[in-house]
Amino acid sequence: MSLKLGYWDLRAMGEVSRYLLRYSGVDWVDRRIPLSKEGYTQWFGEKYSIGLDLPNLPYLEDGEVRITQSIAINRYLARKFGLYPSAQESLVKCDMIEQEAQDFRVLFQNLIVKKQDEFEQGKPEFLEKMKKRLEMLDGYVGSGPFVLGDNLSYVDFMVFEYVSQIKKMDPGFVDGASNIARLLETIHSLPQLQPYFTSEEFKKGTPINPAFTSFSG
Amino acid sequence: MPVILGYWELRGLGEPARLLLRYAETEWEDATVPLTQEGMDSWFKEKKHSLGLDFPNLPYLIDGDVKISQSVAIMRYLGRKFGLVPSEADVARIEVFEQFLMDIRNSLSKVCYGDKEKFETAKADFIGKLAKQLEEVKGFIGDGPYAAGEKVTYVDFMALEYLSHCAAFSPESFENTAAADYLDRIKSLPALKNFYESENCTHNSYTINSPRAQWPGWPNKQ
Repeated sequence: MSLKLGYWDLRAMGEVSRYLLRYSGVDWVDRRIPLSKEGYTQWFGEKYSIGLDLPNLPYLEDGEVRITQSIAINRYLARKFGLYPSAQESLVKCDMIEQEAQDFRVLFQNLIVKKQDEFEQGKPEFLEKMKKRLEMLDGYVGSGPFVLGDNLSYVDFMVFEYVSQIKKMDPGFVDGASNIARLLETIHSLPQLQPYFTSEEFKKGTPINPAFTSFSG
Repeated sequence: MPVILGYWELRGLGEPARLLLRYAETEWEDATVPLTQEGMDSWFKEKKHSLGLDFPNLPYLIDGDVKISQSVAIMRYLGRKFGLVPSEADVARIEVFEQFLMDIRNSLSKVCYGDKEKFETAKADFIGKLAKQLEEVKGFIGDGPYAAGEKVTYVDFMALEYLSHCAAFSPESFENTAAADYLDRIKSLPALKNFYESENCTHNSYTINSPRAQWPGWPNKQ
């Protein structure tokens, strides 16, 4: 029974799932498809023949289960690894923060796919807009320690990764958001993630976005 | 106390929730924000920050003490409230479909709200991909009749609305497709059938997107 995550050799929309898998401590295959002619040929050659209903990247294989869509994958892994809220009241908060965090990534993606000059032009407005949203998120998270309070959940990893991506482009991004800054530290310090953060792989680093974008990070 | 669903006076991201509420035949308040200067002022200057929403935005849902924004969060909540949720074994599969539909909605949105100069190319690109996606919908739904088989779930209302946006954008893409049949089946559900056939059906007057978008999606017009 093997657990495999397939995605481009990028962070982008696959890294949250990788964090959930690293956190869990289970054996898993981190299949990375290179962003090269070979990689594209490989992926587009097999995309429709590996048992995926709605083929895309990332994809997850867990025995007979085969799913796509990063959020569906994250929710599946969360339920599997005890990172999904159990209290009914937490479900609404969880869903809202999941969608807010997703918006952070989608809006960031919309910015970085613009051509260099449009990107430079759009960057200040993007950062202004996102800092306001970050402030709201900061207020919502409060003293935590986690997004949903006492219990770590998959949305902590979504906030961690997607805020970190923007922070790479704008190092001062979380300066006005002390609760979020604290959350980033807390997630980074999780004992279960230390093997990863001390690894050669982490030191080598993975680009956030493709090289053809205006910010690959 | 009736559920309150607040959104602009158009279809967009709010309509799936409205369709679900109509199907559920529950008492609900259709708190539309008029697309007039007055309406927009009343939203931005007063209501937005005084409703007790943690992330003030449209659409929003208020159900007693529960106050939600983010359309996906709203749909999942209404699904749970009215039992329109998949069985445990089917959850992952339905959530994949939920996200697939959001991808399509977001792609179409980018085209409709994009630059005028890029519109024709963007439109052609979108329509080019649509045929394959509708094939995938066909494979996913199979015999159906609904996304989760015999059981109607919240994603069917997202599918009905977001795929209908695509059908209005590119009617030819939907001709003689299993996807169109699937949408017809959902539209034929009792309370929905009445809605679509009524004289006051909002789809006869509402735009799909903002009237200021590059492609607003006026009813019965291209």
